[in-house]
Amino acid sequence: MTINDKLKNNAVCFHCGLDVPKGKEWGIEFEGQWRPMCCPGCEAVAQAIIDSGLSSFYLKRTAYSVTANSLEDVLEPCVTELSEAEFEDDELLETSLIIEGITCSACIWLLERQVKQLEGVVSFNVNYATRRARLKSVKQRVSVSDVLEAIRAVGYHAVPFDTSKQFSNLQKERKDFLGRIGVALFCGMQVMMISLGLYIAGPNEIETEMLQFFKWVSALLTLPVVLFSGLPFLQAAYRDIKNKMPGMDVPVALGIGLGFLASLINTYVGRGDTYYESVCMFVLFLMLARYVEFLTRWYAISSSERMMQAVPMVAKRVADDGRLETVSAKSLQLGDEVQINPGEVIPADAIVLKGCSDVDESILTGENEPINKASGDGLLGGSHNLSNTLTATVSCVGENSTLSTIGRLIDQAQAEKPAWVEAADRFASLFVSMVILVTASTAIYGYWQGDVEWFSTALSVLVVTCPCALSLATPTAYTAAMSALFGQGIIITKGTAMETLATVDRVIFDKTGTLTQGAMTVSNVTLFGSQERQNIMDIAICLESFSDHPIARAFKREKAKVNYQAMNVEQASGRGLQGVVEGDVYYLGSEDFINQALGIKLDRIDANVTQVYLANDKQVLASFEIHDDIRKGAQLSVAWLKEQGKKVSLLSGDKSVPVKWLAKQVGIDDVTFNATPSDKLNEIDRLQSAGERVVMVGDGVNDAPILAKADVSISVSGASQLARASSDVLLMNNDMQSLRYVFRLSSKVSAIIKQNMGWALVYNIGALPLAMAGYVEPWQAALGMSVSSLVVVLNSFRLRFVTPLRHNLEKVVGVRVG
Amino acid sequence: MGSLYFLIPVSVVLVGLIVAIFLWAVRSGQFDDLEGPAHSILFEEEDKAADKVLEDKDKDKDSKIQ
Repeated sequence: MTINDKLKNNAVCFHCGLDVPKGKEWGIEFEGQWRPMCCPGCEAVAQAIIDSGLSSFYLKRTAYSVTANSLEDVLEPCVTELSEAEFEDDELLETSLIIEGITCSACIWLLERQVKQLEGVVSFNVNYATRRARLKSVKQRVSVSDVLEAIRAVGYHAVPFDTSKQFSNLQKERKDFLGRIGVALFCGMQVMMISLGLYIAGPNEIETEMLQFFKWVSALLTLPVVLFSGLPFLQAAYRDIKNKMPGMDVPVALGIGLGFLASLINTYVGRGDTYYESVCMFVLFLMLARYVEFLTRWYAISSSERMMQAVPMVAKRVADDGRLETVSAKSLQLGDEVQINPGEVIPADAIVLKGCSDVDESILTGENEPINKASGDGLLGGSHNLSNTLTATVSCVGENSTLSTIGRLIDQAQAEKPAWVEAADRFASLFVSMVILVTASTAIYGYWQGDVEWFSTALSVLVVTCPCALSLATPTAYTAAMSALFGQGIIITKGTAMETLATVDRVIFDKTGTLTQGAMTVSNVTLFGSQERQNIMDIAICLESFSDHPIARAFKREKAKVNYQAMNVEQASGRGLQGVVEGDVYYLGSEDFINQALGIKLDRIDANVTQVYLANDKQVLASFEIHDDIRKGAQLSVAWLKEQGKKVSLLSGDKSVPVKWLAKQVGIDDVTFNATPSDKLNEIDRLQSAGERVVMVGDGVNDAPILAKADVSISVSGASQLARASSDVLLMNNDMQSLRYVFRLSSKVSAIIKQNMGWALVYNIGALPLAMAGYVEPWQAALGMSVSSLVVVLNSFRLRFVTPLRHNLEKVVGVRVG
Repeated sequence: MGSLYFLIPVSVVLVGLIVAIFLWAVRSGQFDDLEGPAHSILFEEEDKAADKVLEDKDKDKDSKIQ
């Protein structure tokens, strides 16, 4: 528990590990020591935990907790529309909850204790793997919202969910997989044990009667493997044939089915070979490969926070008599009057009637500066009301609302995507048809020629050419890469993305939330003159209010005590400002700007932080350290991508100045700003029709259509659910460096796939003539097939040993490390 | 060698049993959370005070339900 050592460091929040703002006094007394906190939210949560007698949570945990959003968030009673209980007894009530914010296993301990302390709770179990909980409570003694509130008090966010949905289907599918694999494994092991005896024994060493007995036992043990474990293949093959689109499942099913049937017949007749062990191995191998593939998909879908949705579930509607009623957002009608309190999400597209407030529309437009809305202005459903209470009439519901429009754009883009997927399917069915044709003609020819061994020859051909190694070539490489990436916090939702990624020409980044995270802040002020800190700050704020530069936003966030009025303000193209405040001339800007204005030479204190200086006409008064919000590793990743010969672009809906500034910071030359979602879509379209393969890295709801449209899409941590849903790759950790690992592994993947394909083709094509000529016995064919598959699997497994290359600073010279 | 006629059927029966137990375990959710229980062992008994509070609650609950 290394975390406890870090706690001695007083600069980080005891609860969540964020930096503690200087000069703030939040914190609690714990174990005789003062523990600082970063915000009142964390303070309240920590207090609640300690008050509940659960303070040992802080000794047990192995990771910091999630930052509590705000004090209101913690204290405000939660209004959540409760889903109907799924299971009702006379006395007991069972509910499922999704819990967000679980960072380590001690969180489970804390949650379970906290909830079990409530009266009326019979049992409460949290599943660590899936972040879901089952609550059993006594009816009328405790309501679900009480439980949600208790969970909220200790800093987690819980929502009830409906088990009839997607998740329970996945859970069922997983159990199904496990069961089938278990049966194949246990029965296969027994069959193998018997077969091993037969292998070891020389010819005629086992008496016929015993041999027959072994074969019948093997047949009995193989039966459940074929009929239960192999059922998905048989069903898929049946479906394929019915749709007249034979896929890889058809020869697999044929191989399993014919191999088993032939063995049965040979056993019954009492001569010829049996292939029970091959059949079992075949089924087990393929099932395992599919299961690993399924697991990665499962992790991707059930990764936490996925329930964070843009539109809230409830809205506050103003009834005819002026009272407020809480209704579900879906039930809002055109013309309904709604009240939106500060901090709430706007439930539908609407027009402001009363009030005036700042609204954050970044989730929809990418614009991260709050927009002031007064009566008559339009509000976008899903955006955030920040400062004051607004009353608005609903102007648009359902299909035409902004969110639904974006949803439609995604569908459109996804529908256009899979042209090459179809090509791959066509190729597969062509190959499969050929295999079956060759097998059939071998059989017919042999039968017609009067060959007694015709069936065994045909079976050899089918087994030899069975594209097992070929069909394993790609998925095993994908799954090995996926699980290697998963360990690094990277989730691949579509395996094919790995292969495509290796061939891309251009990487497009979104700005807000992707390259930047949240907002810039003034992290430190150093004073050189005799003036007071607050006064210096007030002057800086007043000057910066004239600027559009991203650094100015950091100052706009600070609160001014005295609102000065600046006169004669002049801007020096993004480098600084000068103006007259209270009769004195002040200069505010970069080092160069101040040097030039005052004709002096400043000593830079630290070259690694962005700094802004304030000076009057005689001397420098203060320096401000600006904490830039560029995502960790962004600069290094961009430099690395360029080094690899990829083109890098920045595509943003934000204004020109901040976009250009950021592009310069991270080293991107190709910049597009003021782009609406449909502009972005057009841009991708243009690039793709110019023959480029494009990767989009984004996060927001507004990026979702583009993510769906791009050849490969990557969403970063903190991305909206919609963006995740349309991404091929999800980066779960904060570091952009993982992007490099994805790219590195993807080129390895395509190399491995080529090797696998090469090997499988050489084997299949080489063995085919031999088998057709009757030189290959079925058991040799089965052995050859298993060995060739094994080679492919082991070759793919090498991908697991590709290690992520960490910061290689010497290689990317001239990059500022942020 | 004759004993094989007895031992192999026994092994088949055993496999059948193992498969049945495995399927039961899968279906009853024994494999649902493979991480949590491993950690929870470590947490259970550390804090006697909190445990006591819980136990009292449990007793309380039991008596009230009955």
